[in-house]
Amino acid sequence: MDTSTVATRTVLSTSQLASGYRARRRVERVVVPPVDLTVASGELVTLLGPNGAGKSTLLRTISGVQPAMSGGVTLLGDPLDGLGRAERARRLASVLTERVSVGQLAGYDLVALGRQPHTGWNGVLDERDHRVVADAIVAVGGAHLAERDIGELSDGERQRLMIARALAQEPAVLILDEPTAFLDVTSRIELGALLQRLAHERGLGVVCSTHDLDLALATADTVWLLDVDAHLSIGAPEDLALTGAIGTVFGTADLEFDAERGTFSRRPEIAGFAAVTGDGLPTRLCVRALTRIGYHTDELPDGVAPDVTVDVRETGRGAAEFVVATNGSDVVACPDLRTLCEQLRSRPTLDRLAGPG
Amino acid sequence: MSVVASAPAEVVSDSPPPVRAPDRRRAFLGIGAFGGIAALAFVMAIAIGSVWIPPGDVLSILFGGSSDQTGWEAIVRDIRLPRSITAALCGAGLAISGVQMQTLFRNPLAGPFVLGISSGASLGVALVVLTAGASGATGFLAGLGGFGDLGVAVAAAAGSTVILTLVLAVSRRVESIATVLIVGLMFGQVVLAITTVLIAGAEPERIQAYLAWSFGSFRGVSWDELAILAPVVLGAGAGVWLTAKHLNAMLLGERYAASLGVDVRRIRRVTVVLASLLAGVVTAFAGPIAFIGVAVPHLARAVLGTVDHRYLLPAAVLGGAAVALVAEIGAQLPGRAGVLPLNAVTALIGAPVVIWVVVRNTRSTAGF
Repeated sequence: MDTSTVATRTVLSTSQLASGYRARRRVERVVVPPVDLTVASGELVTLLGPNGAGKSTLLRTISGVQPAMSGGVTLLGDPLDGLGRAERARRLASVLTERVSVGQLAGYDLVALGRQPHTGWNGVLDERDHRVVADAIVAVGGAHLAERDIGELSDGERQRLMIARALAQEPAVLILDEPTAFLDVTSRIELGALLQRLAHERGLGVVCSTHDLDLALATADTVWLLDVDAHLSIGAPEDLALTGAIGTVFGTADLEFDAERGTFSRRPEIAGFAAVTGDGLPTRLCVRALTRIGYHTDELPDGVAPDVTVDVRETGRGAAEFVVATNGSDVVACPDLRTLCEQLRSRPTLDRLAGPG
Repeated sequence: MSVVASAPAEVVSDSPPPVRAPDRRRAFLGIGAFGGIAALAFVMAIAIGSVWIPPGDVLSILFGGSSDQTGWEAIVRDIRLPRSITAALCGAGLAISGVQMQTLFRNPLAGPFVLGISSGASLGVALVVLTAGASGATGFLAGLGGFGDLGVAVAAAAGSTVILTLVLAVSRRVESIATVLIVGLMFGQVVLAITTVLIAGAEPERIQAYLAWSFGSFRGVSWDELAILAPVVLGAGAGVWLTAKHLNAMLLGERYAASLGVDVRRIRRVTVVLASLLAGVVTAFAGPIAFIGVAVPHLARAVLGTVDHRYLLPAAVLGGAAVALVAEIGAQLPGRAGVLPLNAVTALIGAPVVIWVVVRNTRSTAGF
């Protein structure tokens, strides 16, 4: 199977695939109602949705681990059900949620396990197998991990090797269930970039579930968005921002989706109106600090006078003075934003405006 | 940081470092070391006993020569050689079974007997020894002098087979391997309770005979019985060797193994049957030997530095044989005063080994 081909083709598709499980004999519980999905080679799909929406169930059904309630999956033109175990593993590789906690196994040997669908009864690797393993390790940037004991690696490093292991299967489709779950921020961002590279440069069809919204919106070619009612919306991240689907699924009383930036922010409780004068980075950061503590800093509605005015004076490289005036009271010069925020928090005006009463 | 960085040097540093497969020398050396110790212990186990036979003479007798002392040949041929072969086979069988169970359950404390094999065997033996023919049992008890007594072996095998069948029947119905483990442990507890009741109502001589069996022993297994023990251990061991690749995949957990194309239910069934066969036949002939099955796999992993079953299984065979032979030598230490209970010796050797291995490798074995 040549996965390096650039021409886009459908590698995986579902027809009216319903996923769920049999709770008891003859009692079926459909978690995700019938859907038609396609994954193309070179496409990074992110399955996004809140916890409990059925992301894992859908992924497990797509990868054939769990039987479909109805409908079917087609993998490289063949029905998934009809493929033998080894053949399936040569076409589709999975990185699962569960944490692998085995010690005394070298990183190289872990990745080499990915060759199992290709090797004979005792798993002996030939020259080509070794090349594929080495290539997979390099692809995830894990060359320095090959000789290390995986029991001693960080979660991020181990996750990289688990992905290399999946690559060593030489699949056309790579499915990852919550790969960022145990990772710190840096590893999460690196992982996103890695998945993007695997899809775009190696032509893999990648499906990755996550509830990490930022990562999904920043890297995905296509988002499958599952809402709590298991309704599925499909589109580019920006499409779903435009239709408001993302805001609807993830927005709450306190969270507001900024479609333009693709980020969520806390819906502020307005503590007052502020006017900021000045320019440069200190001014922008001052606006940010005021927003954080609940001040409205955009253009004021007609007829409203600012509760607070701040004049930002740059005093040097990385230093500024913030002169605060509140209506009818004294003017204070603050040496930094922490002092400024403290000043404003202690203002009686805040009490007046913060509460509804 | 060099100030003068030439262009070619940068090109070299830009290319990714070569990916190297780990060095296998340590694994091969470890297997060799276990083999050497096993061979040495085999000879010493024949040399040591109520009569000391110098190792040189042992070797010459083993390789078909004769010895100066009349009677030595007979001692070696009829008593000590079958005893040492039994020890080696039992140690190897238990160690293989232990490796399988620890991998299957991904639990460092798992061993050959977690599925209730030894309690099943104990029940079989208890039924025969403690209750057979309430009167006129003296003859039977006298016949129990040697542990190789085929009646006891059959009773042990029958008991462990019944328990195994029950565990397998349950494991077909449940999805989670952890459930199988708990079911096995609980069957063991029930069986132990029945055995305790039998003991409570039995005559003292019978209890003593039962206790002696439960101490474990490699002695008194005849060549005829070895003709059963050896093919079963070797055959089952060969069967396990065929599953080494898939056992490696099982190290990642059953779901990952399935994603790599392993038929998880099948490997689970095959592993349980082969491990139980090994543990069952060993228990039938040598009694419930403690610790070898749990400790040797840890020892082998620590020495080899890998969990790859293609290295671990041969190491477990040789290491298991070595530890069993050393334990048999240890049991001989009182000399003419008699022998120590084998299980006391295996525990004295095994427990420190487990402690040493676990403490030394806290981090790498923690997850296992």
